[in-house]
Amino acid sequence: MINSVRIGLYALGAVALMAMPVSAQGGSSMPGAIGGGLAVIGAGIGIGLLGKGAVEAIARQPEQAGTIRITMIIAAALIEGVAFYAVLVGSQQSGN
Amino acid sequence: MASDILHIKDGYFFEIPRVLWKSHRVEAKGFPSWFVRLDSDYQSWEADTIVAGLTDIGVNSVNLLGLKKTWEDWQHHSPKSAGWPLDAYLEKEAATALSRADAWSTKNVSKATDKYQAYIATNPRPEIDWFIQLQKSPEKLAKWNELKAKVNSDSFLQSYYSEAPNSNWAQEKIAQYNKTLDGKILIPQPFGTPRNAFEPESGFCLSRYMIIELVVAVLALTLFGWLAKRVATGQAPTGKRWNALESMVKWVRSDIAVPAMGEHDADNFMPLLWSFFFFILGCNMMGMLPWVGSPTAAFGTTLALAGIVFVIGVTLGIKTFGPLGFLKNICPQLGLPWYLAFWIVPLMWVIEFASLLIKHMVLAVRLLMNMGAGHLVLLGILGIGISVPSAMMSTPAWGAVAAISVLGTTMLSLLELLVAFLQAYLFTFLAAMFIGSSMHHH
Repeated sequence: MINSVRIGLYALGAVALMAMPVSAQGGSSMPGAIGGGLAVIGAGIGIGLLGKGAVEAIARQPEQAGTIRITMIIAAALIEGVAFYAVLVGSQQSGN
Repeated sequence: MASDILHIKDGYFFEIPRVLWKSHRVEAKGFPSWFVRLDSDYQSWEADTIVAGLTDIGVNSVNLLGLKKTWEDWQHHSPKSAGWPLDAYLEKEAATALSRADAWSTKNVSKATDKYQAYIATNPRPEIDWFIQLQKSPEKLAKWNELKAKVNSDSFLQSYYSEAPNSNWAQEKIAQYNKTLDGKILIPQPFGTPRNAFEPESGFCLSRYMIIELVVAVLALTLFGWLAKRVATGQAPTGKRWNALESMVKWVRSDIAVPAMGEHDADNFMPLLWSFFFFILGCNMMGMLPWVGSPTAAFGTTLALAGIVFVIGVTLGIKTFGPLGFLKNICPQLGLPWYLAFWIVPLMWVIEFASLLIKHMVLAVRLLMNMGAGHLVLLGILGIGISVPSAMMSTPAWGAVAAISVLGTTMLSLLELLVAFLQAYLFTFLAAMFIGSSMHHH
């Protein structure tokens, strides 16, 4: 599962890399929405791993659930902030 | 981001269903002047006056021949130029041509010749060149400014009501105007004039979100003023309202402020953090009310909130360590030997300084996008049910799709409720953390 995701990401990255010089030459560049989407994939994987870690930690030490939850939410918010930033910047780029 | 279907876009009016707010204006003067100025009939009449005025100034009639047509094409060309009158069109096009000439001449002309002349010689633009020549002659420019002031004055607008060539201005047009304004509660603008329903022309215009923010602030003041009076009596809390409010206030202190900045600092900053939390929570919750909208989905609001955090953090940092000490404290103490510190510390300092700015910027963007994106998702789910025309499907199938989309919207609204609390919590927590960390050694 993780492997197929990884291979898919590599393929996406390769496509993006190959498309970049081509799109820079022809008047229209790559839409920024693709960049935003790529950043969101990364953030999604990050928050997923974070949730996995938190659930495992709570299962191991249920008495620490409160602390773990707060730490998890803050870390998730920081990751989410980066993703939102990428989406905002990306959505401003699209067009020409 | 912004769409007028959603309540995300800020504007100078509240929009509610048409049946609840009928526009019953009976005479032309009852309509706001910016609204009449956007009418294409008025603009066409105004354009005729401007063309006549330009002929009086002494512009060659060849240049004025296709002017109105070109301007109308330009208006329809993109949403950005929609609704701009002829005088604004001429000035904007002239400014564009001049800035293009500037950009062109930096590439192509090395000597200090007349940049614009060199540009126009190779790229002829007769449709705007005459206007630039007009602007260059001081006496003609003065006359043009006079003409512009005339068509933008209120008395000119008044004369349209009486002198308009189409005599049907009376009933038919007023009915048409009223139909457009049905369901739109216009906000009175005592401090400025809007250009249209979304942009200011001059001065300070009151928008819908400003009014909602004021309502939230007044609501918070009355509620917590009441609570403060009760708490000051020193008795044990009694009653539902008192208990509910006090437990929330207590929770903000014990679960947000103390973990983020420590017991001692937390007590100093509680008024600020309580204000942040309840103001943001109130603004977020306003988005759950129909026809209201949440002000935290506008960049201006969140940027101002994050700006307050930034200014307080920097000011307290400078107060604690002094200006130089504050700048030094941006970079954490690494305890490196000098030959490493020599080049690593400046590098770290640049990164940490950028991160100080980005941290606060992201604080604003996170709140904005969380509130905005939630509404977009709601629109998407509800749109499945609404936008699929029933002709495309059999009625039972469409009914099923619509029912699912309405149920989905309800469920996502509950999620929105969670997000409203979560984002108020996060903003307050991070604000407390940033302020706390600026006052302590890293």
